[in-house]
Amino acid sequence: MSIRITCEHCGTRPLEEYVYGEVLDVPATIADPAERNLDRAFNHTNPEGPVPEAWFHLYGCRRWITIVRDTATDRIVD
Amino acid sequence: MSQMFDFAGTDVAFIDGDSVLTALVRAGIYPAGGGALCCEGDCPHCVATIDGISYVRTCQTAPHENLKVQPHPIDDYPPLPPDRGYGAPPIEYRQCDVVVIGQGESGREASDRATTSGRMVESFDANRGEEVIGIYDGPMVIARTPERIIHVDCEEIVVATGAAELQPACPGNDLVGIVTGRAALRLVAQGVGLGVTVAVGKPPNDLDCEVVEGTLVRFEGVDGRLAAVVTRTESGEERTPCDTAVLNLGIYPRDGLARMGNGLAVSVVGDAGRDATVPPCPSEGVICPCNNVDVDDLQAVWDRGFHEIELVKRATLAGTGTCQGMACMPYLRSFLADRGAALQPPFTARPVARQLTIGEMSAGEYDRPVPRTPLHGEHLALGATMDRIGGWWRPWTYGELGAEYEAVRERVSIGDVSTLGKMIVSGPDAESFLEYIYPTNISTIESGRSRYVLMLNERGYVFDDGLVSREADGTFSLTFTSGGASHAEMWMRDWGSKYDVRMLNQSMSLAAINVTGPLAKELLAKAGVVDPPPYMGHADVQVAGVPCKVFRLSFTGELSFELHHAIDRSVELWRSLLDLGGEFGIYPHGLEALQLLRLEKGHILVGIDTDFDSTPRRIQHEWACKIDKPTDFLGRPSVVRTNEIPLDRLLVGFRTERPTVDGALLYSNGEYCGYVTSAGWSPTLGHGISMAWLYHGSDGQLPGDVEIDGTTATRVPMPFYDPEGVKARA
Amino acid sequence: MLEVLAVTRVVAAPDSLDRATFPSGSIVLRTAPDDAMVIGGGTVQVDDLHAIVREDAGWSGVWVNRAPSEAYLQASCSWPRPSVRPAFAQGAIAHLPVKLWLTEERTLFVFPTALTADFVERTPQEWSA
Ligand SMILES: [Zn+2]
Repeated sequence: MSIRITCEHCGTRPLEEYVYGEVLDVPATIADPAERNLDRAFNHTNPEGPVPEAWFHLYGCRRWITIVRDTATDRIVD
Repeated sequence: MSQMFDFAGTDVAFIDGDSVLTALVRAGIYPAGGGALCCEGDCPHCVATIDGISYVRTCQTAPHENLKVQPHPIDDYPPLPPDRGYGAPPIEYRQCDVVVIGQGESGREASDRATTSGRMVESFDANRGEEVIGIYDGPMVIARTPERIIHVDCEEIVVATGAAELQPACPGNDLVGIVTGRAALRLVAQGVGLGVTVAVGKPPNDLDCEVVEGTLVRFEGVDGRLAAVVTRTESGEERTPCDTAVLNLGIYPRDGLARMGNGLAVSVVGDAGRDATVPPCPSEGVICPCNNVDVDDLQAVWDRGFHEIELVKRATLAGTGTCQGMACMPYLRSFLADRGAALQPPFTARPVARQLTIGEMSAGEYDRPVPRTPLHGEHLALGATMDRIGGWWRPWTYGELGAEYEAVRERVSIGDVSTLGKMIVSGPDAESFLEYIYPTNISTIESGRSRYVLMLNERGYVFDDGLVSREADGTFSLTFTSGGASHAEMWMRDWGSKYDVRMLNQSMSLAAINVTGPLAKELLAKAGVVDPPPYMGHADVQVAGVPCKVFRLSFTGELSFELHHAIDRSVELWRSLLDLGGEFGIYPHGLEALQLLRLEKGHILVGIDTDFDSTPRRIQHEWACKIDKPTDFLGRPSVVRTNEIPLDRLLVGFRTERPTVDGALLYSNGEYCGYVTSAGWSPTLGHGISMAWLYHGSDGQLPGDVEIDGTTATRVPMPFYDPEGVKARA
Repeated sequence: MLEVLAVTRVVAAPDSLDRATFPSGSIVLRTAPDDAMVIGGGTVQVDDLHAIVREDAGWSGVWVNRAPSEAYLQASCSWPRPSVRPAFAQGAIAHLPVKLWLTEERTLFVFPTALTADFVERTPQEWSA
């Protein structure tokens, strides 16, 4: 498999360079930071389709980046 | 003088232009013992073991002197390669716009078209020894040549693999002497005599043969060799004696790679994309020569209710062998269409399309790198047994566990703790950020002081621990566990993004040596440190001429100083300390001794004594979780919430009179009630000590004494050793 | 030849780092928007009060002529290198975290000293001779 993820700092690199973080799916309607944390920890929507995700570029800049992955096809769409 | 290769101990001559197969057939040898040869890599009838590698298509292999060919055993699996000598071939990474697979007429046209429109093209062709073994997401194409494995990242793939000739599906199709039309031409071109030749279907141009009328019914043979072809015409069955039967049963697209690219930018040109017309449904005979599946087998699984092509494939294994369905797919489909009155699409194709060795599979793969501390060579020179622990190479023991332990408890010792995670945090929000990250008060840490900290996640579970120190310049130095450092950095960078902070990871830039034991202060004095920092304090000082940040803390339970310094000065410092410590009886300690020393002190190892849902309360660390501190902290809502639930288990200490082991189970009145996370035998106390998870019983009470490995274990408070902490604060 | 590099790490607010002045002759690898790795020593001037500026002994490197470095990368690096030199790039090479400084004539491979043994094992022998 050759999924390539583009890091905004380093460029396009193979999946192996990254560590998966999470789906960024806390609803914008939750405003309170503590509530947002709890939602982030306990509520997972497991969406099908394009979702924003956090990945850590371990082999490059060692920073978090956000990409949009289509969970139905595994394609990185943004 | 002709050239020779070896086939099962016999010399076989070959000439220019031969494949191993054409040379073998010239010598009257059929490597797989029969079957309709295609000479184009589609069928499984020419595979053999070549130079120790099995499942090699001899029709795709050029012969050379010294080549050793062995037929596969008839009733057994072919041998695996010998253990040694078949490592990973070199790999080559390429990038282009378009990959064209196949360089026949349509493939060349596709390449030319793409090149003309300014796109970068890579092409592969099996006739040049380049076998494409898979199309992957990306998209990416992996190909194999005799020399290397090639990975090509591309935008688009054009499959121009052409079409294969249909294999016969009738009784006798495993005899020697059956070839496809194109195979016949290749053999004749290499001067291979075919004997009396008949053609079933339209023969290739210029082939000297008799054409038999009618549809193929069966092949008849004598001693495994073809003797006659039987066809059916309007006037009945007709038997035609011959040495060789040349088949033209129609063609079927080589679409395996195209189907592998499902959902990717893959287009198909030429014969590979032609309409896959299926042949008439066979009435008897083998349809899958790789796994020897015949029409009766298909009927049997059909009768049991397997009607989908994917299920029939799994139930019979047709299509899962060497040729991956090239031979059987047309017949599987025609059989299912005949029985079910609907033509089903082909089953899914997946990499790999060709048999690969494990060496080839591993091309371009490496072990996970394991960092070494700057003292690695020193440990080896001292006879240490090194092991990979927490992602690093670390000294487990120097061979004298007793001496290592004793040096710490009674004199002085040094240990390599360079693997600790280390980070500097600075910035206007540094303090408020750390107040939020840690469940401990940070604002009250004075300059030059340190504090033990837990790290909690949003769920209120402990995932790491370490130290926070405030520097004179207002920055903070943090440490994390060795194995947790990488995760801790990700954690800090994630939550830190909401604060105005700067962070520098120094884990691999700073080394650290722990000087520990009742004589630690004397050793440091000899190294020039006259005024070492107080307990839980730190200071920048020179130790034996090496600039160090010296932290006073204790993990071993004895007076301890952790010397953090640049890794390029580490060997020098280590050697100086061993030299200066000679008069005190210094001896270094490895991780095995350290684990026992800290167990005596009841210090947890996160990830060993804790698991993924260890709250501060469950591990008896509520003293390190200041639930009432003035600012909010990560995990607090969850800690508050879980604290309202009755406690269900506790990390506790046990004393045993016999040694126990990590993972041993706890029983109370015959009822399972927990397990040991760390076990050891305390030389100082003279009894066994264990840290263990203890579950509450059905009465809601925590059992007192329990049974571990058939011996009574008495619950005792931790630390087991020096409970007042007098020694560490000495 | 493999050598321990004289590195200064500068972590500062990105816009301050944009304006920072680096010692002449040094190589500045901008490993992240807020992080610069300065190879060659000297004083860095950055106008961020909270900048972290530290000497960093944790990095080693080897200079390799352009042709052999490109041949090596073709077989060990699955991502394309910048087409224009001089340039900086970082990523996995032979499954190690490596930073590249690519000039017209040569390539500098930079890696954590703690991974030297792995680097030596995965690169041509003559690089570490
Ligand atoms: Zn990056």
